[in-house]
Amino acid sequence: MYQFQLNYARQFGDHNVTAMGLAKREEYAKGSMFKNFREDWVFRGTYDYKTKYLFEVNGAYNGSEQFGPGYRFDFFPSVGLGWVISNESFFKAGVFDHFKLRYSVGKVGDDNISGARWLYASQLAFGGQARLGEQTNGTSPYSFYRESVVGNPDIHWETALKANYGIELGFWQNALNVNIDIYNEERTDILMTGAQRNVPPFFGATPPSANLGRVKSKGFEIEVNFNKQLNAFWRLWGNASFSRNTNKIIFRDDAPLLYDYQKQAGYPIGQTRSQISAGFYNNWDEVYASVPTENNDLQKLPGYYNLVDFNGDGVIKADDSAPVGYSGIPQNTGTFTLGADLKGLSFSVQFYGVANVNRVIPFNNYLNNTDILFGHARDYWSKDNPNASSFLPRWKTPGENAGNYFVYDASFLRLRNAEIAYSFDRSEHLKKKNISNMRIFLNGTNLFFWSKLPDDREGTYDGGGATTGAYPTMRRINLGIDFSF
Amino acid sequence: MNFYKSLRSKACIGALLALTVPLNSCEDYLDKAPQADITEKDAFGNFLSFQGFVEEMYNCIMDPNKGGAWNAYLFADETLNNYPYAFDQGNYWGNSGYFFGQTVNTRDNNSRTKRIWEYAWYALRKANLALEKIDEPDLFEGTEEEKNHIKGQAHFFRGWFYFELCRYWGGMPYIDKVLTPTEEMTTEEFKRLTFQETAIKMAQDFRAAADLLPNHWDLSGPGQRTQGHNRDRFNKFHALGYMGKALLYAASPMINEEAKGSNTFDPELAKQAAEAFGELLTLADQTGIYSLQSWDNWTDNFWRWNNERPGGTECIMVPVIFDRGRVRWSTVGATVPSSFAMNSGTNADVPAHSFTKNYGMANGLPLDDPESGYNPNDPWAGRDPRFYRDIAVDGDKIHSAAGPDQFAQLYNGGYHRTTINPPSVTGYYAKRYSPIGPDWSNSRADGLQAYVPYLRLADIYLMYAEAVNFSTGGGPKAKSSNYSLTAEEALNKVRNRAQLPDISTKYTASKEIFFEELIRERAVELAFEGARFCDLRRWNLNGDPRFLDKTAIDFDRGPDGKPVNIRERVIITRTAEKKHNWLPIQVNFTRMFKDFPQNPGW
Repeated sequence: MYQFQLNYARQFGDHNVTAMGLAKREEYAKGSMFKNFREDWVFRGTYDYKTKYLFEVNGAYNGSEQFGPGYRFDFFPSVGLGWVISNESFFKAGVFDHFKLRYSVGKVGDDNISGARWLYASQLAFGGQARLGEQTNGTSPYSFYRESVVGNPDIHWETALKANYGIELGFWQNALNVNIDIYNEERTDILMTGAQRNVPPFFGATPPSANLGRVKSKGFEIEVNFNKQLNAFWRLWGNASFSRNTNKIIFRDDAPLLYDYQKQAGYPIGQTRSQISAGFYNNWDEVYASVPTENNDLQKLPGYYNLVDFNGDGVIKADDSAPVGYSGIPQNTGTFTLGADLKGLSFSVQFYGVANVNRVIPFNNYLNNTDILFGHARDYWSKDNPNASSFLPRWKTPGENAGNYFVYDASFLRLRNAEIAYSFDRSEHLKKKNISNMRIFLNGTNLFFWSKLPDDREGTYDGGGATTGAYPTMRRINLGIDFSF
Repeated sequence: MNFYKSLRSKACIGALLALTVPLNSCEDYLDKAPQADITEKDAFGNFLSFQGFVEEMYNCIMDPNKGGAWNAYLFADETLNNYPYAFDQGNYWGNSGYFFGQTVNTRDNNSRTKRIWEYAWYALRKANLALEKIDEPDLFEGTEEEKNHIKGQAHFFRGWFYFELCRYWGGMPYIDKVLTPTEEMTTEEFKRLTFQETAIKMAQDFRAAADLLPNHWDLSGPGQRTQGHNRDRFNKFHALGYMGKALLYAASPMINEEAKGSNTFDPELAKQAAEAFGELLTLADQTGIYSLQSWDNWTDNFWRWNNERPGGTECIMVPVIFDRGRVRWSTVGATVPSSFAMNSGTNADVPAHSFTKNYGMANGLPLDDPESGYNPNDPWAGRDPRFYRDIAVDGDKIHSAAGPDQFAQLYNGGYHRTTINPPSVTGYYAKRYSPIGPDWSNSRADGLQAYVPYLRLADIYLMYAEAVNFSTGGGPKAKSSNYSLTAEEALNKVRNRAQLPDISTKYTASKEIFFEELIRERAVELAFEGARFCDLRRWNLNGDPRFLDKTAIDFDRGPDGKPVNIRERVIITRTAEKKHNWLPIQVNFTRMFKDFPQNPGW
C-alpha cells in the first residue's frame, strides 16, 4: 500500500479552513489468494465561521478491481452543514444552553459481494480428476478444466444516497443532553448475487452478479443523556436511547409470475412469510369441510390447524404463504441505563429491549422420528382440551399443518446488567500498603428476560432453525474484588 | 517546522504527479492479476486438456442410492420402510437425497453432494461449451479421432443429462448453445417442450455420439493412454443404448398421450427404438465387447467383495465411484437388519410382499397362472431362482457369525420382525445390493462394492422386446429390421439366463398378453434398480390398482420351520394420480416466465 496525503489548516480571523487530499493504492492478500487491488482518491474541506456556521465537503473517487474497464471508478461526494444556534448573539442561554442543527447528504459506494472477485470477468479453473479407473478407488489421468465464474461485463458500483438531519439540545451546562437524528437512505444498483436473480435453471451456471436491487430505508434515533453531581455525596447518571429503522424493497428482480404478496418488492428485507392458521379442526366435520392441502390431505386429523387458503384457489400449498408480522431484524430498539454514586458506593442497571420483530423457531415434535417433544406441546389439543395452545403431536406422520404456529413475536426486554459496588479508594489504611484502590462488586448480566420467545436467544444464524444457531444467552452473576496498585 | 514544510511540498508534488497520470493507467492498476487467468488455449488447446474439461461431466453423474447417509431411490411399489415414504403418499415434492438441493461440486469425491437437477444443468452447459469450443477455429489441435472422442462424449452427455432430467420432470427446453449472461432467457424461444419432443432431440444427440465414439476406448487411439481403465468412458454402446431408451420412453403411452393425446405406444418411435437396440445387439454379437453374465455370476452385475469392481461384461453404464467407502454406509446401512450394527438405526428399507409376487415360479409361470403350482401356504417354495438371490425370507442363513442374527427370524414376533429397531416391516430383506447370506460378515461387508447399474444388456434385451412388440407391424414374433431375434426370443435370452424355460406359448398369443409378461420380467430382472418408477409412469400404469397396495406378510413359524397362519396385510395404498406422471418442478423455477410452467396438477 502507498498513499499520498495533503493536509492544510489555517485560521483567518473568524474563518477556519481545513483541507485534506489523499490518494491511495492498496494491495493486500492473505493465504494463497491473488492480491486485492484498490485505488482511492479522497478529499475533504471544512469551513466554519466563528464556530457558528459549519460547512464540510467530502469527495471520494474510488476505483475497484471488481468491475470491468469503464466501470471501475466512480465519484462519491457528500456535503455537511451545521448551525450552532446557541452561539448566536440573539440566543439567550439559560437553562437551555446548547442548540445545534445538522444536515448532511452524501453518496457512498459498495463493491463488496459475499467474497466474490472480479465480478466482470469470466474465469476458467483447473484441477480435480474424474473417478474413472478399473480400480474402485482409481482416478483418471486427465485433470478437469471448468468454467468457474461467468462474469457480468456491465457490473458497476452499488450506490446509496443518504441524508441525515440532526438536532442537538443541551441543558444545565450539558448535564442533560438530547440528540435526535433522522435519516433516510436510498440504495440503488444493489449488487445481487446470481443465485438471487430471476435466471432460469437452464442457464447452467451460477448467473453473474448484477446491479439490480433497490431499497429505501428510513429511521430515527433519540438519545437522552443525564449526568449530574447533585451534591458532595450524590451523583446521578442515566442514558436512554430509542431507535427505529424501517425499510422497503423497491426492486429485487422478483420472478414476474409470483403472487405480489410473495414478491420481495414492496416488503421489508427479510419479511417473515408463512401459511396462516385459523384455529383447530375440532372434529371430523371440520376436517372434511376444510380446504384440501396439496400434500398429505388424507393425514389431516382433528387437533391440527385449519389453514387459510390465502390465494383462494381451493388448495393449500406453498402459494398460500403470506407476509406475517415483521422481519427478523427489530424495527425498534431501546436501551435504558441508570446509575447513582454515593461516595464510594455505586449502583447501576441497564435494560435493553427490541420490538416489532418476528422469528421462526420450528420446534417440531418427533423431528426425524426421534422421541423428542418440545415444551410447547405440554398444552396440546385433545377432544377435551379444544382451546389448547399447541396442536396434537403425531408420531411418524407428516402434514401437521402448523401454519404460522412457529412464528414467534421476538420482542423482548432484558435486564442486561446490574451492579452494586463499593470503592475503598479514600482509605488511608490501603494507601499505606501501596494499594491505590480496592473495589468490591456484585454484578450480573442477563438477569431478567421478558418475552414471548420459547427460548432466550437474541438471534440465530445458519438459517435460523431451532436446532441450529446461536447458543442461548447466559445468565452470569459475579462477586469480586478489584485491587489497583 | 522546516522539515514538516518540506515534507508537505514533496507530498504536493507527488499528488500533482499522480493527478497527471492518465486514468487508463489507474484502470490498468485494477486489472486482474495476470496469473489468475487460465486461457482458452490452456483448456481447449489439445486432447489432454480438453478431455480433462469433458471428464468433469462424468463426476456429475448421480449415484442413485448413495445421495445421503442412506437415501430412498425407489419411488414405486418395491420397498417399504418403518416410516411412510412421502412418495407413497403422493407427495412428490421431496428431494429424498436424490433429485435436487445441492450446489455443484465435482471435486469433492463425495456421492452425497450429487443431485440430478443441479448437476444436469451444470453439465449441459458444459457439454454445449465443449461442442462450441471443439469447432472454434485455431483452438483445438489434435487428430480427427481425438476430436471425435471429445465431440462424441459431449453429444452423449447432452442427451444423457436431458434424459435424466426429463424422465423425472418431463420435457424441457433443449438448450444446444452456450447461453451468454446478458442474453434474455425468459422468452418463448426457451419454452418447455413435451417429453416426446425433447426425447427426439436427445436421440439426435445420441445418434451423433454413436457415429463419433469408438466401440470401446481400449480399442481406440486416444483410449490407449488409459488402456484397461476405460470401462466408464462412453462408447458407441452407451450412445446406442440410450438412443433406444430415449425413443422407447418417447413412444410410451403416458408420453405419447401427453404429446399426441393417445394412450398407446407410438409405433413409429417404437420402431426407431427397436432399431437402435438392434444395432447395439448386432454390434455386441459381432465384437463380443458386451455379453450377458452367466447365471453363476449374475450378481457380479450388482456387487462384488474385496473392493472389486462389479459390472462384469453385462453392465454398459454404472455410476461413477466417487468414494467406494460409501457402499458400506449408504447402500448397505439401511437394507440389512439394523441389528447388524451397520447403520444409524433409523432406516430399514425392505421389499414389499406385494412386490415379491412378481417373482414367478421356477417353471417360468406367474403365480396367478393356474398351472404355476404356486402354493399360497408355502409361498417361498419352487420360485424363480432370482427370488432366492434377491429376497431373504424367514429361516434363511443371513450372517456367518453365530448369534441371533445368523438366521433370519422374520415371523411375527421374531427377532428381526419385532425385537430390533427398526425391524423389517414386511417380513423380508432385499439382497440385491446387500448380499446377506451364509458368508456375510461385517468385515467382508467393508469391502463390498455394490452399484445400481444405469444400463445393462439385460435391460437392452427387454427394451428391444418391448419396442419390437409395439412397432409398426410388431408383436411377440416380430423382429426389428436390423436384428435377428424376435421380441419373444429377446425376452427368453434374459429368462434362460435366470434358469427359466422359454416363455409359455399362452403368453405370446397377443401383444397385450406378451406385454404383461414383459412388465413382470422387467420388475424382476431390474428389481431395485430404479427402473420400476419410470416404467410404471411411462406405461401409464403408476395408478394401476394392481400396483398400488404395498403389503406385508404376517405369519407364524410352524414346527417344521415353514410359515403358518399366513395373512397378507396392506401397509399403505399408494397415491398415484394423473399429476404423478411427473415430479413437480421446484416452485421458484416455475414463476420465472410463462413458457416454463409447472407440471400439470402441481
